[in-house]
Amino acid sequence: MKLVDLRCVTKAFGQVVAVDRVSLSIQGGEFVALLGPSGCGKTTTLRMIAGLEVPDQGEIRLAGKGVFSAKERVVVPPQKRNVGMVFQSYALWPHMTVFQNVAFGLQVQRKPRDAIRREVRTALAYMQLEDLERRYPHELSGGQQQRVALARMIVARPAVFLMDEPLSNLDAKLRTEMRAEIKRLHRDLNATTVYVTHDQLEALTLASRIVVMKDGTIQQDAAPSTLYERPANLFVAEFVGSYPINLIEGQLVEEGGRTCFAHPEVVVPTKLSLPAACGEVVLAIRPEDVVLVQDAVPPPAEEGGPLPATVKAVFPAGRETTAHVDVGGRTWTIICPKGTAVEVGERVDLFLPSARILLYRRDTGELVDEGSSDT
Amino acid sequence: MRNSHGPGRRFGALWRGASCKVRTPQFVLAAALLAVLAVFVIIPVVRIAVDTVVWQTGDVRLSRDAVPGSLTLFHWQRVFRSPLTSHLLTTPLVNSILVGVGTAALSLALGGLLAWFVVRTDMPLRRVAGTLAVVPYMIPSYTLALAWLTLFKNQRIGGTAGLFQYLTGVAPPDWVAYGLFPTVVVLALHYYPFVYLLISNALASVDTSLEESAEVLGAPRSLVLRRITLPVVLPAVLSGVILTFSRAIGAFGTPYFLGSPVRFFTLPTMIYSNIGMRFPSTANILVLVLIALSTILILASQKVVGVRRSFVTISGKGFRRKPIQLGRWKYLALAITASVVLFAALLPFIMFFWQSVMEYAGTYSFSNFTSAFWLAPAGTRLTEGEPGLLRNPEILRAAWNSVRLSAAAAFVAAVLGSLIGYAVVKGRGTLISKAIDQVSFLPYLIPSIAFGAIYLNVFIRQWGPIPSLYGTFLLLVLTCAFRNLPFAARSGVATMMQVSGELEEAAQTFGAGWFYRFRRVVFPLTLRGMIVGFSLVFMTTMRELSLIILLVTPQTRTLTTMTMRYQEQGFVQFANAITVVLVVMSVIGVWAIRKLGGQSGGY
Repeated sequence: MKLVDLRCVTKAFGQVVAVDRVSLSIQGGEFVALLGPSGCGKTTTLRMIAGLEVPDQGEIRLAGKGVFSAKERVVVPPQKRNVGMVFQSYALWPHMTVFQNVAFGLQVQRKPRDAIRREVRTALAYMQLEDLERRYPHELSGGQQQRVALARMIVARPAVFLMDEPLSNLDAKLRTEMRAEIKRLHRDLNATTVYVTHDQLEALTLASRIVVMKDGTIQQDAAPSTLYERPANLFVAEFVGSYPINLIEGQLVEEGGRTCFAHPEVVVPTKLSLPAACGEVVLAIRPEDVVLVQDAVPPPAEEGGPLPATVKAVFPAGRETTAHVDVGGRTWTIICPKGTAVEVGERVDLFLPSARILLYRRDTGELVDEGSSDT
Repeated sequence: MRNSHGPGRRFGALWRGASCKVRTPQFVLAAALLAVLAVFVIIPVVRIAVDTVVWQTGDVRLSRDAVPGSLTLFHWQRVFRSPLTSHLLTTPLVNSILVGVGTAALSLALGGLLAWFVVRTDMPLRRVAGTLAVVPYMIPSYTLALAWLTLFKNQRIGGTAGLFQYLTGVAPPDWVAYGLFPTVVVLALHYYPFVYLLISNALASVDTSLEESAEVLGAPRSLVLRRITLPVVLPAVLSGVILTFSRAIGAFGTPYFLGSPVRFFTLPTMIYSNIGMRFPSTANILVLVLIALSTILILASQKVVGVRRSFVTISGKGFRRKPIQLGRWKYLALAITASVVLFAALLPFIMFFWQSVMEYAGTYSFSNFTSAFWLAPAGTRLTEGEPGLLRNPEILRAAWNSVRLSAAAAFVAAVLGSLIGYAVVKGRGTLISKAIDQVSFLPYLIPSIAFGAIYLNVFIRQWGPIPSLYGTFLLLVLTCAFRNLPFAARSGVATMMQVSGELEEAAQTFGAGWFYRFRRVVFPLTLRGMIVGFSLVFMTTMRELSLIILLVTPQTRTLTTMTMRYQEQGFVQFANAITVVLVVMSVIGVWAIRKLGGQSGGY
């Protein structure tokens, strides 16, 4: 069942279009991350689902019921949408104790007093907050406040969990800990979750599906592995990944009956079965996919290459060594397997395995895919 | 699973084109507030402006050509171009400006000197002096004028001479006793704490490391002063000067008590006199002149300071550097500080009390002691039959009026101020929010006496659905509430700013409707701010004279207006006894506000 369904939703603040014709369907139980740089419209999208912002155009349905429709002139206010939200600032009410904060949602629902007490205690126990119920928010640590915010949300049993950068105010160690906590929460409750973040690692590790946004539009909507392996365009390719993806410009040409990526210094055969001369493209390859070859080693048989490069910097980090190399004026990052000994100034050869390269049209930045060859 | 999806609500009428305007409770509230502000702030000002170019019913005694209801420039010509211009406009205007300039200069000298002593030097007892230096502002300014009369009056206005003449046998000349000079001194003693607070904050916030690093680089003292210290303090100096100037030109009580014996008129006293003589249109024109003058000044001060609507703020971290060594001069500094505080606060209070226990005014001996003015039963010959203050039903009623007026006005202002804060902050960026913000600031531009005159004019007759309010307690409440609204609204906006919008949104996502979340979340979080706003308006109203003097009737008299009545009747003992009560109430009130203010912001 489609639990959250956005159709062509648009929202502008004055002259700035924050969200531009976004369509998005989320099934029950999914964990969807809205990922993008600041100002990409991800938080606005979340707030429109919650009802805290009213879109200008489009339609939003929650659990099959229309909660917003520009055409039918329907606006359901947040309090009638049955959503739960964790705010970036946590938004714990400072004049209420932990218990009162968590009980609020149940009090609004007019549940009997002892039922409230029971459910609040259960939620607090689940978030390991039993001993803190009489504390006020300012008496808690950042991590504890975050737990209270989560407990407050789950106790009201909303149909959808909405989280707006919930970990951005925590330090690195707590962030890892709370990430595990949120994952546990999702696994235990199987709650449909929409999670806004600008941290691609957070999105990759938590979500079952990632929606990358930029300038108010959806760039790619895919599973984390697809997003990483086959970014739909150059923006996604560059935004996702802990190390920057390596780029080099060239043409697609036909050579020996195969479609090849051609660059003055290197020719890489591709898996594409296109008519030749598809035109100007950008080749992209992840740092861990580049094969670095030093003089002594004989070149591997069928890989694209060799592409000559000069080592500019080396960062050994135990498990692996990262190297920055100069490729015709561009700096590439390369992750070498353990034990590779390269030195600054050394001339090396790079090989680009056909199966690992990604090709993007230079004009539109779109991925050149099998079957998208007609132009 | 909670199942509360309501049916989609339809807002057909509010849709315009493609964009969506939803009638949220915030929007309804903002519209309602704007309507209230229009009725009680904008329209009254416009109405009195319009009234000045229309013949009024009473004008037939001014001119035979008067046709009530039709347009005329007669009143403007009468004020601006007639043989009366000098008496009605020019002289009071010049006097007002002289009072303003004098007060500003003297306040700057006193306040600046004290600020420098307290913040930058090694004067003994600096902390105590710093606290006491602001006390004069807590005492109603006209009471200082009364104290001046007690000290320096001569027999020109009849009655007994003041303490000075009693002690020395020399009658003070008129220029010392009445008119410009005492008005300036008294107002300066009342308003210098403004300048003091502004400058001491600025001085304390000069990062002394800036000055020290300049000195390390070898810059001479004078250069450091000119290039680093002055630029930081200058805005405070300028805004202090403009603030005291604009307050002084709007002051009524002091120039009234000290000026009328020698027919020294300022704009406010001329307005009062014209209303007393039933020339409302003339008074209205003078009100507009006064508003224009005060508006120009306040806008200028905002331009100078760069920050809009900064009232005196008591803040700023102290970077206390090693104080300037005054050596032997530090005792002189202490003496100056002590005498300012003594003359502005302590001495008047002692004088009032002393005067209130004298059988015959002006005879300062122990044999002249009486408690009659405090305790005598009704029918006592000495008090001309009036019972002593503590038994006098009229005075007690006035005290009760003062308290309930202050409480009611403060309540209205605090509630409106909080709602304004909510509407302004919630609707940030929208046109209606900006409009509310601006309009709620308007009364600040209108001097008290002018505000009172405007309300007198507008509410004396029935106006649409509003019946004539003249003589009602409600009118006083509305006047005091709306005149002080800028303070309450500022406090409301500041409080609301600190309450993150997400706190209310969070409640909303839990299904809480507007009233529920206002009650459970917004209201408790703003309560402390509301209490501070309430106390501010309460205290201001307690000592209010100029604002309500035109509006009170015998039934609605307050302590302040009683003082004025007794003063006019020459019953100085009563006037002084009431003043003692007022001062005590003021000081207690301010102390209570300090307590409350200190506790706020606990979260």
